[in-house]
Amino acid sequence: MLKNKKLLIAVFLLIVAAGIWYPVSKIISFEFPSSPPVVFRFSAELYDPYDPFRGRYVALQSSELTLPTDTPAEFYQDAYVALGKDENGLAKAVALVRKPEPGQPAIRPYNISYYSVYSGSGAAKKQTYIYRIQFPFRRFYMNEKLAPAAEQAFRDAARAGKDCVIVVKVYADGNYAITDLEIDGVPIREFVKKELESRR
Amino acid sequence: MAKNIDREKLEWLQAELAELRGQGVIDSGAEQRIRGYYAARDAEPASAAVTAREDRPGPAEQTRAAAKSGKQQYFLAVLVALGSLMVGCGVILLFAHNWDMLSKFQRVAVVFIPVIAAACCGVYTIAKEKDQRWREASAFFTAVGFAVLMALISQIYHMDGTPQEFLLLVMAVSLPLVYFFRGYLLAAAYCALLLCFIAFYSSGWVQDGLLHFAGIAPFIAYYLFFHKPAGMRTVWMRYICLMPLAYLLFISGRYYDWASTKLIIFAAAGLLYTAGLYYSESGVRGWKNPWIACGWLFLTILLAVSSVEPLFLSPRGMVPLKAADVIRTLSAFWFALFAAQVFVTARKPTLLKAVVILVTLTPFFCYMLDIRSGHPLWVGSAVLLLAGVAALAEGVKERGLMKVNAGMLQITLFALIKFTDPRMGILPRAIIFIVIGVAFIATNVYLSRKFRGEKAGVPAEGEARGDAEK
Repeated sequence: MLKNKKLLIAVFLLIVAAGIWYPVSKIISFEFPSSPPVVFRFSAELYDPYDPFRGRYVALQSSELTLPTDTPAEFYQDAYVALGKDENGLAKAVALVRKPEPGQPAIRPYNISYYSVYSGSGAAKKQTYIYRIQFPFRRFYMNEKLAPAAEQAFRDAARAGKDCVIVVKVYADGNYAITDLEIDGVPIREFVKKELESRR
Repeated sequence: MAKNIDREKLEWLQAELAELRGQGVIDSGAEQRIRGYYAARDAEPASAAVTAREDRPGPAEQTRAAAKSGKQQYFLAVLVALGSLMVGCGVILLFAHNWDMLSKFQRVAVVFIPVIAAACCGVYTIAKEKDQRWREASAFFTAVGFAVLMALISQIYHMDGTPQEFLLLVMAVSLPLVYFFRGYLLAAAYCALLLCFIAFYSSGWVQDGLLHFAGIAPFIAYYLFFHKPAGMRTVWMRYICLMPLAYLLFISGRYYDWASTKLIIFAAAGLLYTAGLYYSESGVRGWKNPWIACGWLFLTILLAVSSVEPLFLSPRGMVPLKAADVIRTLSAFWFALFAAQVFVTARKPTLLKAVVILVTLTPFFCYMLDIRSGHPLWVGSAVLLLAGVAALAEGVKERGLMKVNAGMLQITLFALIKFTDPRMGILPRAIIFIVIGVAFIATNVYLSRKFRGEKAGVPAEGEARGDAEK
């Protein structure tokens, strides 16, 4: 009986270990990456919905990036998007790759589609494939009080022509973590708190 | 190891002992010995002390005391459960209020607390061989711990993901707990979540939903078909299984075209009704047999709709449905269910079950024979009337009030639908009503004479008691 109990406890602990394996593996991959992540900044739009399980969040809509290429990538639906930075320091799509390569940060897009553009005529007619890439940065969790205020702050900022940016850490294995939102270079929590204080 | 004594069974036994003594089946000594034995088994110091006293109370007082003690225990357990729930919610809200004040690592540490506490609870339950209540609580607590952990980790790291992905993950990690702890409550929650998938329906989620259904199906099937039909576990499963059944119906409806879906819906309604009738004959009645009420209601609604809307209309217009279409429609799971329905009926055939099978098959006949517009409404009405008359006839034969009422309701529904049907002339309606009315009156006269004749004889005691139960 005692042996049976030990076996049952072992099986139960195994079930618990299997249950927490996924979140623990995620934490480990975020906190102890094999190589340090690269920070990218994506321009964004915001709105403020609600998740019944995880609470209030600021829903993000990262601006769609485009990638023109001369040759089609047949694997584009399973592709990773290699990232670089443009002259403003914002993220840009550099290439479509099958998997992340060392030294070339890449993440799997949320959605990717393409259309063709023709230029020139006759023998010089050239076909260009334009890939439209949407990224999976769609949620930034905030507390119940700040999330609606963040939405309002963003609307005001957008009207005033300020920049809104999603700051994302991209890891070598294609993993990513949203670290912050910035309005005109100011982290959104600070921005919102300042806004709330100024209204009092 | 002492077996846990079901409180209701104990109360029933104690009430029965007085009856048995009154009938002379056992003497008062045997009665006292049995009472003493179960009082000791019940392991309640207070009641044991009372039993040991010389001026011990009478059997009726003992029964009342045991009942009172049982109710008090349940009341206390409910208070403790509610109190724990309130404290838990309060603690969660406290953390939620101060969540932003905690550093990321503090938050990560906090989210592991529920799952670790649940694991400790589970280990304690196993180590101390606790009863079903503890097993249920451990299973549920651990599953909730997983859900909280996943939700908060994805919140802390702002991870993307839809509610359906979250549900899938939580259900996947909860399923082993259902089997391990035999968690009926968790199984019910699992099935309810499966039902939630209807809200998140998209073609991509069908396979995931079906996979999760396949995960819980053996658990439900085991308790439905390999346990005592009147046992609480089986009764519980009869309720629970309605949720995955509804999910499967929905998936079938989205997967097949509308014409095939109608056949499937009729098959499901007929299956529930016949299975309910089968268990009713085995003595599983009332609230213990939800299938009979669900099946009857489902089928009656379908037939009522068929009487006013052309549900039985052939879907292919001029081209009758081919056998291959029927086989495709009743493929896999639904074919198995339908076969089970026929098998259940064939084992113990009755008029009502045969009529229900016929009713279930009517849309198939209509489709195969390519019945066109106009007629299907009459087919629907006729089948509704047939189902009602069959239920009424069987109810009268068995003296079962429920079946009589069920039949009467169906016939009344038929009458209402036809009375208000503008597509039919007043004269034909009048004739039909008069004919049906005369048939009822004639039946009443016939049965009254028959019952009077039976009353003239002395009914056997068992028969009289059986009638009262019915």
